[in-house]
Amino acid sequence: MQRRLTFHLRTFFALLLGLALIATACGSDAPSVSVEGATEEASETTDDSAESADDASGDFSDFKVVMILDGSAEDGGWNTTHLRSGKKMEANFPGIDFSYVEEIEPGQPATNAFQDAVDSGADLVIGTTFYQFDMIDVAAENPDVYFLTWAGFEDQPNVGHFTQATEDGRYMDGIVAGSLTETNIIGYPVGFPFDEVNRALNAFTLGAQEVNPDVEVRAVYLNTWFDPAIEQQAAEALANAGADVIAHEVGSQVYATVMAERGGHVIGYTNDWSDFEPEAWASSFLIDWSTYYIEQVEAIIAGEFESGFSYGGLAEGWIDFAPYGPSVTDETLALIEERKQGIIDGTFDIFEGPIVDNQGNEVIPEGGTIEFGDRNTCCQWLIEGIVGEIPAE
Amino acid sequence: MNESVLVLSIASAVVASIPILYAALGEIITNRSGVMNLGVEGMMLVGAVVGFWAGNETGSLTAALIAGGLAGVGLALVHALLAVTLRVDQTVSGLSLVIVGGGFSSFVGTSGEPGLLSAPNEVEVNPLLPQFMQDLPAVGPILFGHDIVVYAGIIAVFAATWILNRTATGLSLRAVGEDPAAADAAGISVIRTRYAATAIGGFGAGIGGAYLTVAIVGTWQNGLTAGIGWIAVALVILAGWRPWLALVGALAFGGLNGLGFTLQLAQVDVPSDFLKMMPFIAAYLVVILVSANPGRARRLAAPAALAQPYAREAR
Repeated sequence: MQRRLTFHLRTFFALLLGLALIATACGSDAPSVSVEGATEEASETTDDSAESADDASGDFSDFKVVMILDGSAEDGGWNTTHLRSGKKMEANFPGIDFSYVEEIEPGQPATNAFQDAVDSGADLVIGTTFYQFDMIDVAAENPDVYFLTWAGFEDQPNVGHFTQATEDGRYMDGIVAGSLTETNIIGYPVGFPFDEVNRALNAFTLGAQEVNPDVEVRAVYLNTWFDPAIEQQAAEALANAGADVIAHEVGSQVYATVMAERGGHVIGYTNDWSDFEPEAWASSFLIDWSTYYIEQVEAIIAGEFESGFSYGGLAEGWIDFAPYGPSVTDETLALIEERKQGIIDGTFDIFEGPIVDNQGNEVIPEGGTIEFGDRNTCCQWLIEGIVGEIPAE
Repeated sequence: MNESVLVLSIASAVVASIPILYAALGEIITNRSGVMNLGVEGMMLVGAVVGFWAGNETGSLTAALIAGGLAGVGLALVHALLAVTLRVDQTVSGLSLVIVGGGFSSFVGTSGEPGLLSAPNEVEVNPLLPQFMQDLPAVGPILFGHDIVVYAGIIAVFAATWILNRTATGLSLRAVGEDPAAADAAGISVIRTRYAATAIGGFGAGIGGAYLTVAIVGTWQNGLTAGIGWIAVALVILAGWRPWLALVGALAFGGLNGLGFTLQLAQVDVPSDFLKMMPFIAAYLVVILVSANPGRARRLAAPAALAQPYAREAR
């Protein structure tokens, strides 16, 4: 009897401890919701607020925007950029209720997050990655709520899609890399073989080739957007193979650490990390989606929202640049200014033919180009000068 | 692939093997006492985040490693409480530890202002040996270009081998792992030995995690270890619970880690996912070999009482 009692107590205690541990684990994995400078308000009041927001008095307190981030808001790259753009938008509309949720993976978690945002009374929900398939049903069921989602293609009267012309910024980063490299080998670790990613890599290489025809851009596909341990291995492998400039794709600060150790240079991706390993820092283009966000909020409030796809680059004010590093020469800076102006004026075309891919096929003929509006569907090829292959999907 | 690429890749592999080595050494000690702790991944994550935090606060490598190690001990003691005292199924407890460690490390990483996620690395890690030795062709980068933790890890392998096989402490430890009842009868405290061995395992895993954040990657991210803890668990089986074989295995797996990218750069198409699978396939093969050949198997077999809770009154 005595033994059985002890046994039960022991089982009970173990079970309790186990449950407590699991609860701790689950609790900390749950997405955190941050409310930025907004007071709690009853969600019922916001249902029809889209049209009734009183913009004449400059008070937007009954307009609620929820941003859904796919990674950590502190990743220093993609999500930090979206949040920065969102906060610029927030600053533009006094009193607007802006909040965000982070680390929402595409799939069911994203669908839930969009639904939660709608249930919390959002007038506008901004999805910052390829949430197309996760949010489209939520959008269809809630015609009074507006949705903006990065990339995507499926139309719905209350859904807007947007993509930035990364190539406008990446070309300039390519010029910097091409002029800095001494080994003529540039490392370019990339996330996934998406059109957008390949397009940026192509534009980068074209920029590098403009100033340095002998340059070789070595691309490695990581199959992750952000994983410092894997990125560290890729950076080491690239440096071991002779790369003295690494331009990364999204990613973490490990490239700067590795390049600083080896006396090389690093080019960021939509982040200003000029203070981190300042000697190694070379450049980074920046994305600024706030122009787009502000336009859309204004359109929604005015009742003039138009669904569909928006694409913006340098000319549209979506692309900007972080401070350049100390090793970038004035000559390089002058060329960059010239090219920027050329893109804005329409006198310079990054994808002017002929362009040959690294398999020897002519992908853009002499005199041809990729029209600005069609660029978002390019590329599933890599240009000559890139050592690397798009992995089979 | 020219020679310098090869030399540099091997040098990178040596460094990459160190977190696996420390974790595997710790797990060997734990297992040799009869405790199975599958929570290495969780303990490494906690060690990684706490080590990174301590490194950030103090700027000291020693502080980072000790703090990371102690954090690993903390989690290991939870396992010891469950597995040794409460005699819970060790597989279940170990697996829970992975989940708890993952969640706890993410929680620590995001709490505090500013969070650790965007924090720079304040710890400077320098090579131990004089410059002229590092400058030697080939052997310089591969053998002499490393920091103190790398050399300490190799010393730890010899120390562990010696302690396990040549000292009374090691004998007691092995006795507890092979036949706890006999050890108990001989006056060795099974409970105390197993607690200590589990704590040492946590310390090894914690140091491995801390080294990963402060010396290799230089940043913290949720789930940073990305399976290194599991590789360590597989490695322990693969090495037949012997420290020096764990060293060989850790070097091989450290090499595999970066090999995917090196091959991609050399235009050899081997998917990195395939390489990631290799340690576990190798562990399978060893397990099959050992069970197919019982004669030789004895030397590489698991401690007889591994994962079996010991209850004196249940005899």
